[in-house]
Amino acid sequence: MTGLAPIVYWLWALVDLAQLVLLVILIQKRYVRRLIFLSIYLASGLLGSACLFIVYRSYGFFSPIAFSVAWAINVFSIAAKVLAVVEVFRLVLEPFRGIWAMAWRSLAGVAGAVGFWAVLDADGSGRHVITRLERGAQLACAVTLVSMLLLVRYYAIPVHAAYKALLGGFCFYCCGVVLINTILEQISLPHSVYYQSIWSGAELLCSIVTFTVWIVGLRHPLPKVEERPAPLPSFVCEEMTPLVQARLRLLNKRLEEMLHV
Amino acid sequence: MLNAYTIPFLVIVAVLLGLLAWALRRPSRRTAPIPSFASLEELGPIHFRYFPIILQMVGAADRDFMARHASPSLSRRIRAERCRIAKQFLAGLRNDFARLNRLAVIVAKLSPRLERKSELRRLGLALRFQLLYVIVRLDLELGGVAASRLVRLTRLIGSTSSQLNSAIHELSKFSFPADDAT
Repeated sequence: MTGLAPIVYWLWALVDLAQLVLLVILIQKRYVRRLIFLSIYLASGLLGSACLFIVYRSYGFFSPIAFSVAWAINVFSIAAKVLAVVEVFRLVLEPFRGIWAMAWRSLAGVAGAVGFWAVLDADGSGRHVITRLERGAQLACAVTLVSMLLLVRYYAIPVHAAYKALLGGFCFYCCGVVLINTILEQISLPHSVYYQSIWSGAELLCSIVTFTVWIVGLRHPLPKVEERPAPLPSFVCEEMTPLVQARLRLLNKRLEEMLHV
Repeated sequence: MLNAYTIPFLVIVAVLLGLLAWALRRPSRRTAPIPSFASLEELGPIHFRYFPIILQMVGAADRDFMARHASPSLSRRIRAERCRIAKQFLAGLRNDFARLNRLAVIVAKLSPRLERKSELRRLGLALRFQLLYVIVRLDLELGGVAASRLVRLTRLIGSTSSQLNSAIHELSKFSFPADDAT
C-alpha cells in the first residue's frame, strides 16, 4: 500500500489501539449506556479505520473512491462527535434545568452561525474546499465547546474530572485540526505524498493526545446519578424565599433613599 | 508561509486554547452553597450603607472647607487618610456586588426556567460594575474621585438587587404555583 509515509501507519495503529482501549474501559466500567454517543463515536472510528484500510489497499490512497470514502467517514465522525459533546454537557448540566434549557438553544445558534460562515468561507476555494469545510466544522465545534465551558464556569457548576478530560480533549482536537488545515493549506500542494503524510500524521498525533487524555480522565469513576444535588428542602421555598426577597426590597429602599438625597 | 488569511485563524485557535485552559482550571473561589438561615444575614450587601458618609467625604464642599481652614500639611494628611477610607469602601462595594452575584447564581441554578434576556442583563451589569470599579480605583490611586462615579457604582448594586428580586419572584412562582393566582 503506497501513498503515506510508514510512520503515519504506525500512528494510525496507535490511534486505533487507543480507541480500542477506551471502548474496553467504557464497557468494563459500564459507562456505555451513560455515554452512548461517545461509545458510538469510538466504535465508528474503529470501523471507519478498518474500512479505510481495506479501501486504501484495494484501490490505492489517491483513488477517487478512497477520497470519497475517507471524507464520508470524516463527516460521520464529526456528527458523532457533536452528539457526544452534547451528551457530556447534558450530563454536566442535567441537574440545572434552567441553565441547560437556556444554554443549548443559545449555543446551537452560535454553532449554526460559525457553520454558516464556514460554508461561505469554503465556497469558491477550489481544491481546498473540503479541508476548509472540515476546518469550519471543527471551528464551530471548538467555539461552541469553549462557550459552553465558559458558561459552566460563570455559573460555578462543578464539572467532574472525567467530563473535564472528555470536553478538553474534544476541544484540543478541534483546535488542532483547525491549525493543521490552516497552516498546511499555505505550504504545499494537496495532492503530493508529503502533504498527505504530514496532514494525516499531524491529525493522528492530535487524536493520540486526545485519546490519551480521555484514557487518563476515564480512570476516575464517573459521578453516580444519586450524587446530583437534592431538590430544595420545602422550608427553603416556604420560608427563605420571602425572607431573601424582603431583604432585597429593604436594600433597594435604602439605596433609593440614599441616592435621592 | 504566514499571510493575512492564516494569522486570524492562528489567533482564534490561540484564544480558544487559552480560554479552554482558563475554563477548565480549578475554581479559585468556593462554589456557592445553598444558603442556610445562619448565613442569610451575610447574603445581602452590607457596605453600601456607609455610602452617604463617603459621598460627603469625597464631595467638593468638604474639600473646599479643608483648603480654606487647614494648613497644607494637615490637608494632605487628611486627604491621604480619606483616600485610604474610600479605597476600603470601594473594596466593600465590590464585596457587596459579589455577594449579590453569588446569590443570583444560586437562584439561576435552582430555577427551572431562565430568561436569556435577564441573564444577559445581569452579565452586562457585572461587566459595567467591574469597568467602573477599575476606573474609580484608578481615580483614587491618582489622588481623587468623582462622586458621580461612586453614585453610579452604588446604583449598579441597586439594579442588580432589583433584578435578583424579580428572579427570586420567578423562582417562587415555580415553588408555589398556587400562589401565583392570588
